[in-house]
Parts: sequence; structure tokens; C-alpha cells
Amino acid sequence: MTRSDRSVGALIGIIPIALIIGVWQAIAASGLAPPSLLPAPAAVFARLVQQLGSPAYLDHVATTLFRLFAGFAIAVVIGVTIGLAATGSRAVEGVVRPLVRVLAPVPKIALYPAFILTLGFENASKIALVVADAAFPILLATHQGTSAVEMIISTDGLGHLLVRASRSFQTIDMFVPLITISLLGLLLNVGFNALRARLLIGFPEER
Amino acid sequence: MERLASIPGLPPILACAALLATWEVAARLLAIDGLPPASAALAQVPAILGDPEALLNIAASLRRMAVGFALGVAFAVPIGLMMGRSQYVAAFFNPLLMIIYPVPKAALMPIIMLWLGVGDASKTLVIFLGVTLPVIYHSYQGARAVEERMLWSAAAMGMGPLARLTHIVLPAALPEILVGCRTGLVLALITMVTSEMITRQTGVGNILFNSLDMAQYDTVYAMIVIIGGLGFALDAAFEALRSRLVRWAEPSHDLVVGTT
Repeated sequence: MTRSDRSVGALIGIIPIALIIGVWQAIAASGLAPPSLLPAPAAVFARLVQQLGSPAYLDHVATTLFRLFAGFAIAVVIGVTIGLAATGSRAVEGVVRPLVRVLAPVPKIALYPAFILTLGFENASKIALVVADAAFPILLATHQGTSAVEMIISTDGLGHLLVRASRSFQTIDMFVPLITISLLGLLLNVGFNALRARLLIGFPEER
Repeated sequence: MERLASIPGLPPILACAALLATWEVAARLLAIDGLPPASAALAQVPAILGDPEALLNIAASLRRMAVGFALGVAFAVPIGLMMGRSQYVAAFFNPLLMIIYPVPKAALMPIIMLWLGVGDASKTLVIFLGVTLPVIYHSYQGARAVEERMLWSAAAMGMGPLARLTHIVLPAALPEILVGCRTGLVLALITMVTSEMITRQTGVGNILFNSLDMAQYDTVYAMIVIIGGLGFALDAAFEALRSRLVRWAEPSHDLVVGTT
């Protein structure tokens, strides 16, 4: 793409997002859906700004990020170690491959009750879930020699807010964590891509 | 060792046996309430599978998953193929998909429940949302990699754009699409369990988390084994189907994982 193509592309990309916010605003303004079911976008974004300034909300975000990074770090260590060991030795690969074949398609959320029962309701069980979720893609990526490790997002801290908000039917508060999750994910992705680009200087096949 | 590993189906069985043995030993050594031995949990499996109500729940879960998966694939493949063949379509959808991508689809459950209630519609919609993104992504990648020369030849012989999409791009992208479907299938199972965990009405997720609340630990672990077995069986069945459909193409990945 040339430069002008690129700016045209960026403009085209804004259309569906603007369209969704527009339709959302129109429905909210027309009174078709009561604000308790669908608050206006402006109300949600105002609340987001307000929440981002509130220490209690930031506390929840920090909890989520702590669990995410702790789990991800543990998963990287486990996944890379096993992945490299499997690449280096046929015997290890013979053991690891069938184990991964059996465990990878298991929905990790189903293991969550087992983590709660063995590790308690606090951080440990939630970090364990992130580890279980992230370890397999990292292991496979290491083993396949690709570095396309994807960021995995855990939502427990914010997820808790979401469930609590839905119980008390504060609809605005249900939209705000979602937007925060999306923003966090985008930021993490951008940060990770920047890191990856730095680490992979000299690998022309990696764009 | 080499000869043993080459018998098809044997390594996964050995892996299962090793996992169960480790679990059994760990449970007996730790001796805590929250971790019953594997034998106690497995003893519950026949009881659950023999209970008509549990079977109805499992069938309801699988039905929602199948509907959500089928709708998701039917919706995602055309979009992915068009994105792969037109840079304008790709530019249209890419930013939107980037925003949606990090949102765990199960996190939408409370809002969707508010709009659609706690019935099948909400759960199927969440499964649909979970399936679409990986299938769109892989269809996009598959369609991008189609050889231009084949398309030019077809156009020169008078094939219209729609026919080119269904007769050339679709089959050429099929191996990559099926990789996306395999990831989507695992994700469908995850969103299925998560949606039932949140609504607590019917389904395997409901049995799992209700037995956790009622401290029936053997049942909790038996359900984990059943759901894990379901995941493995669905993945193995899909892989068998995939390798039949695209036997002509080289396998690009032989293992996939999905995440919430």
C-alpha cells in the first residue's frame, strides 16, 4: 500500500466503528431501549473517564494486571522450558507430545473449580488458570520455532466488577469494564509488538 | 519406545493413564478434601452418564455449541475470504476486529443476558461470538495466500467474481479455514462452559459449578474429566474430518489450542 492508500484504509476502518457508535447513540436517543438496558455512549464514556480516576477502580485493574502478568510469566517459563526440551530430545518429545495432544483441547475454564478447591479463592487459583491457559500456546509456539506468542487476557479482577455490576443492574458500569478490557488488550498488544520488533531485528522474515 | 509410539492411538492413552496415576498419587499424598483421588472421581462418571437429567443437560450444551459453531462458521468464512481478496474490505473490518479481539466473549454474557434473557439465545450468541474471530482470521490468511495466477486465468476464461470466490478461493483456502475451525471448536467449548457458569441454568457448566457450591467434590472432578474428554473427543473427531477433507494439502499445524 502506498501512503495515500494507507490513509484511505484508515478512513475506511473508522466507518464500521463510527456506524456502531452512531446506531448505539440513535437507539439510546430514540428511547427505543430504556437507559437501564442501553445507556447512551456518552454516558458510558463519561463514566469510564470518571472510573479511571477512581482509586478503587484502578485497584481492580491493578489486581487483574498483576494476575495476568504473574500467570503469563510463569507460563512463559514453563512453556519455553518444555518446548525447548521437546525440540532438543526425542525422548522428551515422545512424552510431551501425547500429553499436549490430550490436554490442549481441554477447556481450561473447566479446571477452574479444581484450582479453587486446591488453591483457594484468592490470587493463586486465578493465576493458575492464566498459567493453564497461556502455557500451551507458548509451548507450541516455542516448539514450532515461531515467535507468534499471543497475549492472553484474563479478566478476573475486571470480570468480578462486571458480574457485580450486572447483579445490581447498573448497566453503565457493565459497559465500562468491557471498554477497559478492550483498551488494556490493545495496549498490551501494541507493547508486545513493539517488544517483538526490537527483539527480532535482523529477522527479515518477521514483518 | 519408538515402536510403541508409532502405534496410532496408543500415546494419548498412555498420556491419560500417566495423568490419572499422577493425580491418584498426588491426592493420596496431599490428602486434602478439595482433591479426591482419581479413582473416587472416575467412580462418579458412570453415575453421571447414567443419570437421564445429566444426559439432557449435556445434550442441551452440545446442541447450543453446535448451533453457535455452525452459525459462527457460516458468518465468518465469507467475511474472511472477502477480506483476503479485497484490501478495502480488509481495511473496513480490521480496526473493528482489533477492538473486539481482546474482549473475552464470555465477559459479554451479563450484558447479553440483560437483553436476551438467560435462555438458549444468550448462550448460543456468546458461543457464536467466540467462534467467529479465529475463523475470520484464518479464512483471511488463507484467502490472501491464493495464487494470483489461478485467479487471472479464471477471470480470463470468463469466470465472474462470485464464482471465483466459491470455486477457487474457497477450496484453496480450505486447509487454513479448517485450522481456524479447529481453534473455533475449542473456543466454542470454552464459551459454552463459561456461559453456563455465569447463567447457572442448564448444561455441563451448570452441573460443574453447582456441584462445587454443594461441596460434592467427586462430582466436580468427574465433570472435569467428562468435559476434558468431550474436548479431546471433539478435537480428535474434527482432526479426522479435516485430514480427510484436505488430504491433498500439507498439514500446517498439527496441534491447536484455544483460550478464553
